[in-house]
Amino acid sequence: MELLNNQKSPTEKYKNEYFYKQVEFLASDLGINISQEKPVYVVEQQNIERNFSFDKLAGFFEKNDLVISNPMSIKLENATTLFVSAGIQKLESTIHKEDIFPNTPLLINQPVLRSQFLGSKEIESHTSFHNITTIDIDIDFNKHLNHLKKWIDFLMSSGFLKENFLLQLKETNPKIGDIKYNNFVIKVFYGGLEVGDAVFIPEIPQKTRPSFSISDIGFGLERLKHNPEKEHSIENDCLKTLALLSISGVEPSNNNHGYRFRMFSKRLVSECGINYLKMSNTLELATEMIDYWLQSGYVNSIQKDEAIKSISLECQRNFNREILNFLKDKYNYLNEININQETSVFVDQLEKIGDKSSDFWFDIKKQLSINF
Amino acid sequence: MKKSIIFIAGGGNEIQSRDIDSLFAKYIDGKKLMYIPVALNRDVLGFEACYDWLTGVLLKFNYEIDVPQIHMYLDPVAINENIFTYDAIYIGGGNTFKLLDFIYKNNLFEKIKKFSKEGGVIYGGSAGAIILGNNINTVKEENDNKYLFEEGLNLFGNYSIRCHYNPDTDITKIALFIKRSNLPVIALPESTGVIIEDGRAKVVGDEPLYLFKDDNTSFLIYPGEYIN
Repeated sequence: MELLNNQKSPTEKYKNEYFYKQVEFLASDLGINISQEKPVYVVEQQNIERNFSFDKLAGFFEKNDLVISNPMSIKLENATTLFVSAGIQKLESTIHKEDIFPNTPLLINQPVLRSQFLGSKEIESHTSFHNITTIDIDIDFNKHLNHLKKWIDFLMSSGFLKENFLLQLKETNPKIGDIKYNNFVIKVFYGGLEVGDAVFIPEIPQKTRPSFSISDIGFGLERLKHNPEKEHSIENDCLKTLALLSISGVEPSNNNHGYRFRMFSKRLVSECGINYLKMSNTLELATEMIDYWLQSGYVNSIQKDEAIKSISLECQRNFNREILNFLKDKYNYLNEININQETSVFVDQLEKIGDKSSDFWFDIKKQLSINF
Repeated sequence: MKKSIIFIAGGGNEIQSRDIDSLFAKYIDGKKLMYIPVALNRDVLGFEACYDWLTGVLLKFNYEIDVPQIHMYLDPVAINENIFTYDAIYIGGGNTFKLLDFIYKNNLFEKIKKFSKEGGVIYGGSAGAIILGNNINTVKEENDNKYLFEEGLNLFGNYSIRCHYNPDTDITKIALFIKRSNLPVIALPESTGVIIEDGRAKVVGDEPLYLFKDDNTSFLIYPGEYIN
């Protein structure tokens, strides 16, 4: 049913009532609710057993003629962001460099990094996760909704209950680089937790060719598998992100990609309470975290043992910095010892030139749980 | 007790704001910085690009102790909960009325004032700078959404602030604001900034700033000089 006349631009056509009415039809068809109220997180609804896997989803979408696309390296060069933050960045060169369209519709299980959660204390806020995304180009809104319907049908067939779903609608007009556009966003909540969103962009402006529409439907794998009883810790989340950065060939430094590595390592050290033992125990999970990414089809740029060594050395570096900060605050200790070395060597040097008072060493060896 | 320091930047690009940015860098050496870019209209990717931009700007400087830990915050609840765990906050540009609305509606107004009073360092750029003044109607033309709040944090004497100031095109807007509000105004060209420390405000950058005491009295204050 067409509610507005066709003389309007694609964006104008979806504004006003059209966007909302069409989504209402879909929600009614699926038997799920729409609400603009802030959803309430319900633990019991998260605990209901679900049977979601990417492989099953891929099989389902392949039968529906979607192309399965390999994930990109999260480390970007000469792009709008330093790291991949959403599956839609598969279209980065199509949108910004006006390259040819990829084969669509496509499905991608894309590891992504979100810097906005770097300081977050919310346990559900993953700083890196798998953004499973279906992408289609140059389609109308009804086909976009049809893709969303397939998504929700699949989730329901995997054990998600329709009464726990909630849709929330939003229009935004963001800007990235030089490009301004309109987004028609359908946020998808399950048990009050945002698990994904379906974004329709009626017109992506282009300089050398006509504008085109984009359907971008992305769900967070970790949110779909969310289980409050098996929740991860913030330090483990940081380690998971460090594992992703490291196997992507990112090395810690004071700027660009490497700075992000340094920030996640600093957060990990801080979340371990500047406690060497706790940090070491956390770092023992590095192999598991690397495997977590590789098992989903992500291709590593460097060897696993090299990646683990890089994470360990960087965490020791940042731990050393925290020791100096601690000693400066408590003892006004002002010697600057090189922090870019293993903590055992750093502490040896500290011992040679440090304060010999018993409290000082008690703090270093016991309170910080350093025991070589 | 730590002393309050406020950086006010005229809204220029990273080259134009290099002087004030380099001074700010000295205060965040080895420290934790909360970045609040909420005045902008961006989606997830856009905000990631904002983070890349700010870290790119601030990490060009040398840090003797260690690189600052820059964390971006978009969620008002998280800002409220964590603000006092940071040494400094950077409030970026965008729509001034949208930003002030966000601050009022999420109970951040008193919190930011308290953060400053207790010795936290604040950097405001463009819209982020204007809200640090008395009244934001210095950029009344930005109110495109019937936003209601107009009283800023008033952390700069009693001055209201205008950024991106161009004397050829903006002077009538300043005159009209003063006539309506009877408030003094500091107008900053894009390459000009102010550092307020120990109760004294020093001009930095390439160009002088414009101080309007009232609708008849105005001064040019040059980089290196203090505002009385």
